[in-house]
Amino acid sequence: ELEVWTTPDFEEYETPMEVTAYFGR
Amino acid sequence: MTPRLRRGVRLTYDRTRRTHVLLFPEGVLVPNATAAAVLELCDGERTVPDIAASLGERYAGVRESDVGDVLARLVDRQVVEWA
Repeated sequence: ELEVWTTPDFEEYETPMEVTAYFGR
Repeated sequence: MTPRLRRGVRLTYDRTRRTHVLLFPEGVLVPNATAAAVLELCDGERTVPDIAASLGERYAGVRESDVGDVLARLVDRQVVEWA
């Protein structure tokens, strides 16, 4: 039942424009 | 040392995109599934080995070094701190 481990990673949205674009999606 | 989310940082689940989202004053961070699993265990009580052990109950092949590496990056981004 175990899931396969994958390398932890993340995307960043830091500028107001990027954040707005993220929430727009 | 035990990692925890910094004040003002909140981990939530975006139902629309079906992904976790880390909200903080300076922006938004979108972790993948394993990074979200790490973040969920950052309660200021568990150490990195504790977190890796807990993840080992859910995932096969957990590497403690991966947990330490992603936490170091999150500390660098100032969303996680060492308690």
